[in-house]
Amino acid sequence: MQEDFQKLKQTAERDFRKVQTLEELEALKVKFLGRNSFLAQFSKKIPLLEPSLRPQAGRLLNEAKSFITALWQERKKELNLQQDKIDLSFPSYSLRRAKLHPLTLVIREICSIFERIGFEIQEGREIEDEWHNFTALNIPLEHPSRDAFDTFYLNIPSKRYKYLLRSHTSPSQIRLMRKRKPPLAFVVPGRVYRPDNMDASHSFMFHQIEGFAVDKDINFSHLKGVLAYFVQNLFSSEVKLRFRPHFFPFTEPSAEVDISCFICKGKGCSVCKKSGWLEILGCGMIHPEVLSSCGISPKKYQGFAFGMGVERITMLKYRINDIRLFFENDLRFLEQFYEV
Amino acid sequence: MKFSLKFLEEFLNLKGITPAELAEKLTMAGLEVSQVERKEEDFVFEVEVTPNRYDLLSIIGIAYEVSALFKKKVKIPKVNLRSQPLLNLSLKIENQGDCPLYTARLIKGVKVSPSPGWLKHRLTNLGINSVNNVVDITNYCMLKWGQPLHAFDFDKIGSIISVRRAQKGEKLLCIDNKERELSSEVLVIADENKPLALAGIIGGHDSEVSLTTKNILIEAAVFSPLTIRRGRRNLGVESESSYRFERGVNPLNLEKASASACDLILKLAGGEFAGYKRAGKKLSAKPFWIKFDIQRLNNFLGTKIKEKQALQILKRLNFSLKKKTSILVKPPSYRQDIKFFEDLAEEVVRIWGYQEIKETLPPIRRNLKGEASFYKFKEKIKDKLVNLGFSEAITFSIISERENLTSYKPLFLENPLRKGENILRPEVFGGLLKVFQYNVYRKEKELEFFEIAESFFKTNSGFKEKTKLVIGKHTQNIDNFYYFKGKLEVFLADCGIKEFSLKEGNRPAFSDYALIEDWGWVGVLDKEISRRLDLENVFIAEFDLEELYRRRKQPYFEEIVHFPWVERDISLAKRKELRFGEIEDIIKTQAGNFLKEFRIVDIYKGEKIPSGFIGFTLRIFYQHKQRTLSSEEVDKVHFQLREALAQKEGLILR
Ligand SMILES: [Zn+2]
Repeated sequence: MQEDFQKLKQTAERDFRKVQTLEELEALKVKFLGRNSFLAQFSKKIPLLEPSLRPQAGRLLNEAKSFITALWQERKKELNLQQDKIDLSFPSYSLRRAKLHPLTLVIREICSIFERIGFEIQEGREIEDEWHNFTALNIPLEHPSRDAFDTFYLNIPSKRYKYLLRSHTSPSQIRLMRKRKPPLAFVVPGRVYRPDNMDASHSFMFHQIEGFAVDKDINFSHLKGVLAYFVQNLFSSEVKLRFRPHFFPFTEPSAEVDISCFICKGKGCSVCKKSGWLEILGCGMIHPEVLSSCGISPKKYQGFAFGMGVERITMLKYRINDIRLFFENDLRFLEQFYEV
Repeated sequence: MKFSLKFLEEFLNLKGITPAELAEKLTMAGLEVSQVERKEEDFVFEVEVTPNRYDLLSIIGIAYEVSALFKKKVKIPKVNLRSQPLLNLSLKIENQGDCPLYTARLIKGVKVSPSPGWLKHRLTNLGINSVNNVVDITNYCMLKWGQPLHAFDFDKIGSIISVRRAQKGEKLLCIDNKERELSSEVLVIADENKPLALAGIIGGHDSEVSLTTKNILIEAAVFSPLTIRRGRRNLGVESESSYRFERGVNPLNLEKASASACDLILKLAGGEFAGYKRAGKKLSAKPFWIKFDIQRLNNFLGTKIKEKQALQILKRLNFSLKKKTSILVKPPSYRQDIKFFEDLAEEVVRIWGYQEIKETLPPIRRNLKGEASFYKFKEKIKDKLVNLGFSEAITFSIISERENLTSYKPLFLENPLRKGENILRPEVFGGLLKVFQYNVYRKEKELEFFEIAESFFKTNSGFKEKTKLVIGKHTQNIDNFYYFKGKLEVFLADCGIKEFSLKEGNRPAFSDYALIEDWGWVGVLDKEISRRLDLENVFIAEFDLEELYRRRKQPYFEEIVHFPWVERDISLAKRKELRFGEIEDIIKTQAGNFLKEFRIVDIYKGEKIPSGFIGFTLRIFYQHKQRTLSSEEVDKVHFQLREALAQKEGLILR
C-alpha cells in the first residue's frame, strides 16, 4: 500500500512538471484528484478495510491528496506567471514630443543665469528709429564705425528720425536707461536684423542678448566677474575668458571676449580655427556720451554693457554647423534639443 | 590693413622679437592680428584696424604702437619739407567743407621706369601692384605715413586745377579702365576742361603717370570723410585711398608724406623739384589737455594701478604730461580719438593688460518695480503649447509682398536684400505655412507648430507693431479640426479665458473662418491654396498676445460638486448648414441647472445618414450642484430635450 502511494506521488510529480498549458494542467488535476482517480477510488475502499489498517490508509490518502494538490497549485502559479510575462526587449511604440526651439532654450538659460545674480529681463520693440539705434549710442550716422551695423530702413514717412529694423538690441539699453533710474541691471533678448546674405554663418534675422548695469561704483572688474560667472554657468566651470581691447562706439574701454575652446580644450581645432579661443561677445564700460544722452550723469554713475549673438552661442553649445538650420524648423532638427 | 616686418623695421629695431610674439602683443593691446604669413625674407601681418584708430592705417602709426608695447624707440627720418619756389599754377577749392587743404608739388624731368626690387616688395607684400617707380613711391609714402597721394602727368592737365563737385552727366575714365558717370555726390579734381580724378578715391586714366611721363604733379590733400564716403558709396568703388580718407587722415603728416615722396622720386627717378603750391587752410591738430586722476581710474576699472605706472604707460604712448594742482595729459597729435577721461583709462589698461584686471562679482543693485513681465508670460505660453503637442517654430519676419495673405497695408523695406523679401509681415501665420511645407516635403504629414513673433502694419497715423501668437496644424484628416479646436480651448482656459464667442465670417484664402472675440481668429486654409503649397488640411489660429496678456487671470478655487452625475446619449444627424450653436442653445435651455456638460462622442458620415447631413452622438451629463438627481427627474428632462431637438428644423433624431 505504502509503495503504491509512493509510486503515485512520483508519477504525479513527473506529470505535473511536464505539463505546459493550463488546460493540460486541469486535465491532469482531474486525472489525479477527480472522481475516477486512483485516490477517489481508494477512499471509497477504506471502509472495506480491516479496522486496524484504516488509520494508516486514511493518513496515506490525505498525505497524497495534499501532496498532489500542492503540486497542482504550484504548477498553476508557474504557468500563470509564464502567461503574464512580456518581452521587455520588444520595440516600443514610437512617441513624439513637441519641442521648444533651441534658440528659446538657450535664451532662457542665458537670461536665467543673469537673473540669478540680480538682472531683470526686459524686451524692446523691433522697429526703432535712428536716434535710438545709432545717435544715442554714440554711433555717428555716417561714419565707418557704422559699417558694422548695416541696417534695413523702413518706408515710413517721418519728420525727425528715420525708422528702421533694429540692427542690435542696444536701443533697448537707451530706452530702459531713459525710463528707469539707476541703479539699473537688465538683460534684453530679441530679434535683430541686418542686410546680410544668408550663408552657413550669416542670416538677415538673428537674435541678440544685451545686458547692462549702471550704478555708482560698477567697474570693469565687475564686468569681468559677471561675464566669467555667465560663461562658466553656460558652458563649463573650466572655461577660461580672455578680454581683448576692441572698439565699440558705445563703450569705452571696450573689449571682445574669447573663451577657451571647450571642444579641443585649447589645443586647436577646426571650430576655433586652431587658435584655441572662441570669440563670443563684445562688451565694455558704457561710454559717457551714451549715459549723458540718457540723462544719466557720467560724473555720478558708471556702468558696463555687453552684447552677444544667440545663434553663435547656440551653435557653439550644441555644435550646430549651419545657422540656416534655425529657421528651417525641420522636425528632425528641433527634436534633438532639450533643457538639461 | 597689412604691414610687414621689414617695412616696420625701417622705423624701429625689432631684434629679438618673434613674429608670433609681436602678433600676440598687438592683439592683446587691441590691434587684432588675424594672420601672419611668411613671404620670402619678410613676414606679412594682416591686422584689423578699428574705425577709431586711423593712425594705425600707416606703418609709422603701427611703429608707434609697437614702440609703446616693447619700449623701443621710433626713428622717423628727417624730411626736407621743400616748398620753394612757388608753383605757377592756379589752385581752386570750391568748398572747404569738402576739401579743407590741397597741396601740389611739381617735379620736372623725371625718368619713369620700373621700381627697384625693395620697393616692389614693400608694395606687393602688402597686396598693392607695382606700376612704375613714381606711382609706387606715392603708394609707398601713403602706406608709410597714412596720407594718400596722387601723381598726375603734368603735361596732360590744364593750368587751372580745381576741387569741385562733379556736374551731372560728367564722365571719367578711371585708371582701372572703367568709365564712370558722375553726380553731384562725387568730388572731383578737375582742370578747366574736365574732371581729372575722383578726389580721394581713384585717379583718371588720361592724366595717369606712364613710362613716357616727364613732369609730374604730386597731390596731397585732406578731403572730408563724409564726402568721400558718400562719393564712393554712390559709385560703388573703394580704394586704399578712400578707405583712409573716410577714417580721417592726420593733417600733420600731409606735408611730410608729400615731401618725402618728392625726395624719393628725385632719388630714384631723377628730375628736379620745380615748385609748391597750397590752397585752403593750414590744418593743425588741436591740443587738448585731459585731467588725469589715478583714483578715478582705479575706481572706474576696479584696479590698483599706481600713478607712476599709469603715467609711464601714457608716456610710452607719446602723451605729454603737465603737473599743476592736478595732473594733465595730452595725447600725441595722431591720436585725435582721445577726448574723454574714459579714453585715457582705456589707453592705460590696454597696455597694462586687460588680463591683469581681477574678476569680481559685484552686488548687483537695481530699482525694483513690481512690474509683471510680458517676457515671462510669453515663456509660460510657450510651455503650455509644447505641453499640448505644438512645437515651436522661428520664421522670418521679412517676407515677400506676394505672400501677404492679409488685408493689412504692410510696411515696406527701403533697401530689401532681395526683391522677394520686401515687406514686414502684418500677420505671423504665413511662416507656419512654410514650416508645414518644409516638413511635408520630408514626409511628415501630421504637424503641430506655434510661433510667437512681432507683426507690423501701416496705420493712418503711422505704423503698429504687435506681438502675435500663431498656432497651426497640418493634417491628412479634416475632422482633426475638432482636436485642434479642443486644444485651443484647453490652452485658452489655461490662460484664464474659459468663455469666448466665435463669430463666423468670410476671409479670402480661408474656406472657414471665425473671429474669436476681438483678439483672435481661427480658420481653415482654402483648399486651393493648400493644394498650391502641396499641403493638405491646414488649421490656423492667430492671437493678439498682448490682449491675452491683459486678460490673463489667476485661477480661483471652485467648490467640487460631489453629487453623482448621470449620462444620457442622443444620436442625431444635422444638416450641414445648421450651426451647432443653435443645438447648444436648445441643450442649455432644456437642461437648465441639471446640465453639467455635454460632449460629442462620435461623428459618422455613413450610408445611414442622409446626404447633406452629418451624424453624431451627443452625450449629456446631468448633475445638480446641491443634491442627487433621481433617474425619474433626469428621464423627464432628457425626454423634453429630445422632443425639443426633434422639432428643430434640419435636425433628425436617429
Ligand atoms: Zn578648438
